[in-house]
Amino acid sequence: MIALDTVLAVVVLLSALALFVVAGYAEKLVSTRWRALYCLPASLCLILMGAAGFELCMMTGYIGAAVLLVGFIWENVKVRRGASIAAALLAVLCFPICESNMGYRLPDFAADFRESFAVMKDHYVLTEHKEIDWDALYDEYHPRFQQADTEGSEKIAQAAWNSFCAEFYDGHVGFMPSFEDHSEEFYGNDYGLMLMRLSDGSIAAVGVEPDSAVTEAGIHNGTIVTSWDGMDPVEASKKSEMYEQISYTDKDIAEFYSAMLAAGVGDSTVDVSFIADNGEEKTVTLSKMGKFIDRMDDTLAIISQGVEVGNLEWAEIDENTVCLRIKSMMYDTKAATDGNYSRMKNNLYAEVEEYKAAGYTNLVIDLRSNGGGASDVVKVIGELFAPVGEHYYATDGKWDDTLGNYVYNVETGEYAEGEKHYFTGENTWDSNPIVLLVNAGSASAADHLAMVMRGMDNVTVMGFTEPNGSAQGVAGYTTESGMLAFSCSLLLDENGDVFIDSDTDMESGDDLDIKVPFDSEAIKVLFEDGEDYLMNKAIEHMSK
Amino acid sequence: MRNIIKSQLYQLKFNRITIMVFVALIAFGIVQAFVQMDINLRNGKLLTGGDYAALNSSMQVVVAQMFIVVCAAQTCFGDFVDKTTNYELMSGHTRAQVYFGRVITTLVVTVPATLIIMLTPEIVVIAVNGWGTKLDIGGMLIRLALMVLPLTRYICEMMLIGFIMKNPYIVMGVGYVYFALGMQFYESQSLFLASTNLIALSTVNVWTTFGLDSELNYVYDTGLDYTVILGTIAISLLVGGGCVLLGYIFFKKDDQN
Repeated sequence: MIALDTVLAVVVLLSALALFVVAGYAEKLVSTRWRALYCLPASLCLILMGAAGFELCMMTGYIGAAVLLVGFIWENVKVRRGASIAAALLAVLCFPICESNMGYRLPDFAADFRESFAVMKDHYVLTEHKEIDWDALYDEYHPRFQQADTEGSEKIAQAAWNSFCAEFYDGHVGFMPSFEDHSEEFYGNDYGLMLMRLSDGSIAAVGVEPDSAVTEAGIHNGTIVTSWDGMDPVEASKKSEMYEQISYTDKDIAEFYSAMLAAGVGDSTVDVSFIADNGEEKTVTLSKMGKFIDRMDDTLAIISQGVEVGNLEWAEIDENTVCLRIKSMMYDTKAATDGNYSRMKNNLYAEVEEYKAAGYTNLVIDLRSNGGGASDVVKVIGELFAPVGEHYYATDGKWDDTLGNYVYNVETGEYAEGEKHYFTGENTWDSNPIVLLVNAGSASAADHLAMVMRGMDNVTVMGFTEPNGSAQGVAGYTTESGMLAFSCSLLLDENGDVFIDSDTDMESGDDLDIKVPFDSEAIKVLFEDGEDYLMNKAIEHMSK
Repeated sequence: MRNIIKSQLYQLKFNRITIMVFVALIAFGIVQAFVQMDINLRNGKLLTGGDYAALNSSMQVVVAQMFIVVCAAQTCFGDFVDKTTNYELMSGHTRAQVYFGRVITTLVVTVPATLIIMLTPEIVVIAVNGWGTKLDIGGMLIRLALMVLPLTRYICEMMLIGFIMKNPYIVMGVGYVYFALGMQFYESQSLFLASTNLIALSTVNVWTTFGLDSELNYVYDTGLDYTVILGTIAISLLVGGGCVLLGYIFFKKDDQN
């Protein structure tokens, strides 16, 4: 039970016992104000209900507090004592009822879904672009939330939310639960390795647990796995409980991660077929050794690694190459509040001049796993490194106050354009080579930066995958269940189409100049040598 | 009962505390309206009546509750210290007439006065900048009409305390403690406390969107979930009516000494 409910039940119980004892006293005293004591439990009950909210399991406690009002109305000692006994029993009943009921203090999942759904339906800016059928989504998912309410299950509700958000193929659509996170239950068991799809279509083991039953069986980082639990690994991935809860904005990213969930599928053991070092296909049985989510997080951290320095800090890679690490598109709270990023620009300009004076000619801007932030930071970076002259950024969608929405022409299928945004380049790097390192975690404002810089002659965008492909402004709507975030501020490109975000063809507008193959060499360098493979490739490219 | 009501109204005309608090809060509301309009102008925005109602109504509710405590205490119990009720009873009025005469007077005076205080800054902003186009006026009027119920309930709760304590200053003290407790839980917007119920009705859903460099666009939604409407009506009537009934049960047999 939560503290406030316990307090309420205890207060009613103690009040009932105390009023039982003093039942006859009011008549012996001059002042009849003592009768007001019988109102106190009900008053406290209202205050605690106001603080904690109504809970059906606590009904006996609420009734007990109300029963004590009888003592205020009737002055008969026997009636008062009877009411006190009844109230005490009702208060005591709260404890077993609350402790044994699965639905105790759970949010009303279906009601929260309806409320959030209605808001998202009104304000999601990519409805037409992604051809969202809201009625079909409601018919499919509302019953799942009702089931969550019936069974009192947070896990069912969280799975329903994740699956609902996955329907949009939008990196900006997501749900953060206010209740306990059950994600680790969806990912399955850890059998000592993870699977990743290589650029040639084969599936390889990565993140293999060293000195374990897995390595003894002959599987190591880079081993080609041909079958998982009797299935093709990509098909096995689809058997994961998490499969329908994740989606990607771009089909290339989806393909890159297509085998990722397979290694969590299985029972207490799983049969794995692989190509051994001698070229023969072998099958072994692996036992579960923990939770898959832990291994997956550790392995993805290696694949998605960025340079280990702070946000907007520099790292010297070699005698010619320096790296500017941008972990998020944020500078500081003062700049965010004022909207004035001149201090950031001046600092970065001074640092660039310093590195140029020291003889560095190659620049890597590391945007890996940059979740986004302020467009002002994008403009500052763009201004510093773009060639001299005016450069296009993006166009706002046209907002109509009366409509309370963006203007969309149903007949032409086009959004009306608002203000166009540009920035003026200063070419502080003197047209020397610049590589932007990105991954699927480079989203939102990071998507913007990759997009605006990709067209520049001295800039190369590189990565295993393109950036996330989610570029619209995002906001959240909070209910008791948690916060639903979604794209709500529209951005367009020069042609009046939606800026970057993919439509039903799942091709985002944010591409790579060089797609670095994820192959056996990449696995060896990342997992065996412990080096930053993409950084090595960036240096190699700039040395040509 | 009519004579009791008339005498209460007559006494109220000379109740300096209530009149001073009423005038002060009206002046506060007018000043607040101009300050808010000025702040918005400095930021390059025009504060319309709709904007003010959407963004500042909950502030008005807080001010209103502070007034209710004073007005209800003074109107209903301002003359308790000099035992006017004793003389009313001795002059032949029944307990019911004395009780309900005071209850009716308090409600008839306090509810409209509170609404005037709540609406004063809004009226000033509308007079200067108009209502605007963003907020549905019908929706706000429905919310205002619903707010009368928890306001009435709040007054009934103060009156129950007053009939038990028989002292307007104790009523004001207890009332402010109750108000402070309600403010501790204002985020819950629960229907079970009058103060949080008022906050729930005065808080309009506000949605914002933004461009790369442009101002925020506000979208206001005045819609109310049917559970909030039904809950407000049911709980306000139940608790308010219950307080009036309990107050009468107490007063009927209470020794007025």
